Amino acid sequence: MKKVIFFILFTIVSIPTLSACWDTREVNDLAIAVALGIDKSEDKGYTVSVQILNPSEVASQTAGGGSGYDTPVTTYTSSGKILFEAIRKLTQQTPRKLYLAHLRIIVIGEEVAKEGIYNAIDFLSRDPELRTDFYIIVSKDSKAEDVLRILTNIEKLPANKLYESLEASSDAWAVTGKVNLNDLLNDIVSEGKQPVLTGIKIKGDPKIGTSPDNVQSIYPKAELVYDGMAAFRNNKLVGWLDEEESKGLNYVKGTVKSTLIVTDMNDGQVGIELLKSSAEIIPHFDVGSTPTIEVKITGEANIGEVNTNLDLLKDHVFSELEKKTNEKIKDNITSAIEKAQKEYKADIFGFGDKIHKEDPKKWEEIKTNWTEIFPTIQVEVKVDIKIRRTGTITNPFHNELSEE
Amino acid sequence: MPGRLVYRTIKNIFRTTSKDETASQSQQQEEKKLVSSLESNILEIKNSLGNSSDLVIRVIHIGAENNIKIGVLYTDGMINTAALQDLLDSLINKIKPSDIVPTDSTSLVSDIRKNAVTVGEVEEIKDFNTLITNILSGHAALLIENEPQAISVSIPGLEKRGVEEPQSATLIKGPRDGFTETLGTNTSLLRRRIRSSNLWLESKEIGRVTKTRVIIAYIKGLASEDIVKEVHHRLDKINIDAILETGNVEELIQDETYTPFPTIFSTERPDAVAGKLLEGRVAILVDGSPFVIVVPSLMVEFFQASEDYYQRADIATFLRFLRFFCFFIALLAPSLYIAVLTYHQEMLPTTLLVSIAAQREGIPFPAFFEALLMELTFEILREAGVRMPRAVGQAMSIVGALVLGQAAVQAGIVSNAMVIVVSMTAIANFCIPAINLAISIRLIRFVMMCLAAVFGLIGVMFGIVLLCIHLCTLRSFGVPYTSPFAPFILQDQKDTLFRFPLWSMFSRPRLINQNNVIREQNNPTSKPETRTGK
Repeated sequence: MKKVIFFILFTIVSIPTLSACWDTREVNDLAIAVALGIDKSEDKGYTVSVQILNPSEVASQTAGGGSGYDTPVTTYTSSGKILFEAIRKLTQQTPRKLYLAHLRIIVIGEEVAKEGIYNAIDFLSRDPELRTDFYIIVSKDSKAEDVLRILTNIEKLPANKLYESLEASSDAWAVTGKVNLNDLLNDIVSEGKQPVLTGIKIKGDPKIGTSPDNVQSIYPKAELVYDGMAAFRNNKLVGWLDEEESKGLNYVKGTVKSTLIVTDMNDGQVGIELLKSSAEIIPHFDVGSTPTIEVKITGEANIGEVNTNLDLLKDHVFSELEKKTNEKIKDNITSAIEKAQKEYKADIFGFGDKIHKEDPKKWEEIKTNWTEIFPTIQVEVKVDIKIRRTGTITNPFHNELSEE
Repeated sequence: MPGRLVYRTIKNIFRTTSKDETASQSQQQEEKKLVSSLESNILEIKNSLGNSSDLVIRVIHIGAENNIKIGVLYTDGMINTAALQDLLDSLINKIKPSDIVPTDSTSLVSDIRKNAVTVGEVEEIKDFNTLITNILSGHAALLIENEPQAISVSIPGLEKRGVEEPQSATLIKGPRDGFTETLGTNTSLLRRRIRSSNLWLESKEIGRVTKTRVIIAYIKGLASEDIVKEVHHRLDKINIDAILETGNVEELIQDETYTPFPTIFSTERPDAVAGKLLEGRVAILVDGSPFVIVVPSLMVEFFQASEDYYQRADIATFLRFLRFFCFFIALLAPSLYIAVLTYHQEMLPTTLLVSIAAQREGIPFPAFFEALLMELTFEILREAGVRMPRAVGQAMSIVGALVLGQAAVQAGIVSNAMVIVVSMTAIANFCIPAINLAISIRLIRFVMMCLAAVFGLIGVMFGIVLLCIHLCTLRSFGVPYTSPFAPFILQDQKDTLFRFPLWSMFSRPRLINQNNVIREQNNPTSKPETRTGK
């Protein structure tokens, strides 16, 4: 009896004392990485750049106090044959152990993207330390390394600025796409859908962007700007979509939360603010073996700006506006589809996926040569946007001015 | 099982002393009869009290020819002086000489008793032990020359504190009277609230030396017979020299000694006790203590404040929820802080992590040690605050708040976030109405912190599971401590997390009261009849 009690007590005492908090890490012993850039290195391996934040500079209470300006982040770069090696090698430079759980954004260099992103994704999805809520973007016309070396205004963390402005531009302007690791993995493994990633561009001089001068001036000399979306085929970047095409793509994907459509009307322009939209992809299998796709966009919009003479109290004006809006959206979509079909041969819209869901048997037949079939399929686009309100005023001031 | 081992060792250590004491006590227990000589009787009493200076002896002469010598003995400060005045007055002046005819020896005592003693409860006593006990508990003893018996007149008049607002449980809305140290006052406070013949008070004497009066109060017909019997049984089992406070009794009759949780509810508020009596519980009052204990007690009772029943049900419910929430904050906040900061940094939003990391920049201690340091500091401050003379209280709060809080942060020894966590914990702890539960949480908090430091959140979870298991094993006078949650009793939920409107509380707690569950048959709402749709 006593032996048993002794044994139990002994175990209870020894568990904490012998295991000794083996995986404890104090917060101030971590180098918190907020952004990761992946580039090709010269010897066919990878160059990894990591943006590590400097907590005392970022936290509001201590910023700007006394000791002058320190950069809120520091970017370290290292290379290795594989991604993980390069990351571990970074510890030679970083002051503390690298902590990747708080990554906000991953920038894939254009070169890497063109060669294929499988290798980069493998590490990111395998490492348990990483949360999967960061966004993945592709650097356009520059190295990822350079993108991570630009200091930004207002949002002190460049990684945060990338994160927030991607969200904002995707939600309010709909020309970018928020893609996190899970989305990307889904698109990559799916046979009927190809991934798209938003592109990031350095506007201005990258050299000046690295120094505090960049953020101490009222207009930054170097800026990070989102620009179009990169279309992938079989994990390789095949080409870029411009703003209008990106918007078209987002309409079809149903990821447009809100955006603005500018239409020409009576020698002027009218801005239509899209409030909500939903997309439906309907595959039809009637004729022959190649299916046709019907894309249906519905939604609601408000009038946001009128720079012309218009009598908004008239019914026919409204229906004309609606018609023009629909046409404009349709244009965007068809140009995006055309580019994907003709130039990139990449099913970035997920038509194949939709066919798979609607008719799995049919999909089994065509999936092996889907890449060849996709450019040939007929896509019919139907847009039906309803304009609901005119904002706080009804008729534009133009009307009264022209009367005088 | 380890508990039993410890218990046995402790018992072994103390066994020898208790035996000696019982032996010495029993020697005194010899019965001694009074003798007829007044002188020797007085001498005997004086000797057995060791010539104590508070024993007052007055010898007076009464009767037709002033020929009857009477010794009046009482303890200074224990009797009512006005009543004593009356007694002496009637003995000396008001009695006509013809009233007392010293012919028959038996009738002399009864004559005096019948005619001369106008105040108090009177008894005739023949042995010294009883007489001395009586003198010491507020009686005046009349010893008559040539009589081998004494008249003991009960005229107690203790110095006592008035009924004041209880210090330990204040409230905004509700009665402000609290129990005092005087048993008679306390029982009267209960009687005033429950004017029923069914409120029964049963008296007991506990403590070989102190002979403390203990009263068991319950409502006949409501309280379970078994529990009343069990209370009697446990009180009778107590064999100790002194009971100085209700806490002593509580410790001796509780079901489980080795638990940080209080299994017996104690309060200074008569309204709380009355409410619990009406639910069928049994109260134990101890002379000399303003605290009354009530059994059986459930864990939820320690979250209930009297005020809950005096204000709107919805507000009371909100406050109950708040208290349960505070319970968890007080218990877990520092340990969660440690666990998240040393193991699970990925759980924090990035901006929060950044701001905490910035604060911790340059802090020399690991989070656990930092937390331990601050928690201990606060515990020391609190303990000092309670024990300290009130006059230096202000100096103390300045030292505590400024020096230890602000200066420690500015010196970079602890982080701001830690100070916030510690103060939040402390404030949350004060939200729990029962002090004895609040104290037990303080204790468990440190265990949780250690678990968090070693195992992270898994350790905290483990601690919570252990705590739940422990709580489920507890019983208070046979009633499961965690009821009505485990075992779950739907009908009793109306007065746990929620406080339902009074008209819906038509039944009493089921496990405590099996024989008279229904409080009221119809549920009157005070809405006008037209509006209830009748």
